[in-house]
Amino acid sequence: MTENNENLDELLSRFFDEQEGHAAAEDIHRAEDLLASFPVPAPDAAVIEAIKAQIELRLRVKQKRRFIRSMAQKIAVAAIIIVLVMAGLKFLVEPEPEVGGVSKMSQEFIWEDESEPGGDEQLTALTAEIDEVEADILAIRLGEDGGENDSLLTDLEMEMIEINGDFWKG
Amino acid sequence: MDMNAREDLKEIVAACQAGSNEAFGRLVDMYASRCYSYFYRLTGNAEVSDDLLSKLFLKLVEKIGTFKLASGSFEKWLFTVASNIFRDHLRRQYRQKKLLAAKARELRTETPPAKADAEMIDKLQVQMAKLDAETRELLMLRFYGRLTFREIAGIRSEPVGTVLSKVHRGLKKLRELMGHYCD
Repeated sequence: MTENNENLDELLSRFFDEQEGHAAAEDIHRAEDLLASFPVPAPDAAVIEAIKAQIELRLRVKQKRRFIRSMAQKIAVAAIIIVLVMAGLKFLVEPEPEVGGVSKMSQEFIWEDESEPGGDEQLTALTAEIDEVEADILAIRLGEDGGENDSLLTDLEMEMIEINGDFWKG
Repeated sequence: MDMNAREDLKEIVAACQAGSNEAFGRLVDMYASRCYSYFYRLTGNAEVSDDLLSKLFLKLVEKIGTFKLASGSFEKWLFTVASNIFRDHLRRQYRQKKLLAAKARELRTETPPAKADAEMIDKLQVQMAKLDAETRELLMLRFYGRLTFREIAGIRSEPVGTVLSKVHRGLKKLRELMGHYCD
């Protein structure tokens, strides 16, 4: 009576010898015929209708829940995108704080360099050299150099006078 | 079940998984009678069977998504759920009996002798009640579930030889109990 695709004889032959297997198959078929001869009353039509109505109700609730869950997911994704876009826009539109930050860093770097004792001495020496060069330049410009340059200039002037005198004397 | 019927069933189950009310209706029409018979023969009570049948189909709505179409027989899956529902019912019944017995002891009254269930009208039902619960369930899975011995063994987590032997012994005993009805 069973509507399955099982080969009962083949299965029985694995556990019983041939004779026992046939007897067992016979027992099973007879008992199944016996069960079939005592049919169970069918479930009441009203019960079946009630079950279908309950299923419909459950499915509606399930669909509602699925819709709410999907909307919640979409809202969450949209919120994340909005936050990311806003953060990106803030980054692109307001670059000044970063420039300020860099100049501040440079200032900090110089200040840190000055604070070192070795750096301070080097700077003083450099400043003195610069001052000296500036004074020399100024002296040359003003003709106040009383050193070798001055005597060279005097010598040149003397030579010029001598040359001049020699020229007029013939 | 032939190939066409199997394909139809696959389509119906797939539609159920997609949430089709109509497909669930078809599933109820296809299996309500067999599942009801299964519960009826195990409980011997129409009202309880109605209740268990209703629970079974509502459970199906909840769990249909977990059934993998490609990997197995729907009927095996259906009767595994039915078997679990019946066992839950037995556990609940056992707890209720214990509670009632405790209450009866408390009241110092004797519980009245259990009346014969009005539903146990046919001889088969009476004789079935004489089999142990496990054998009875195996026979019902085989007969109303129309499951193969291998499928029953899968549900019960037992070797197929053990299941075959238990079903054979159970059916033989049932025939003996039924006496002249067998001829």
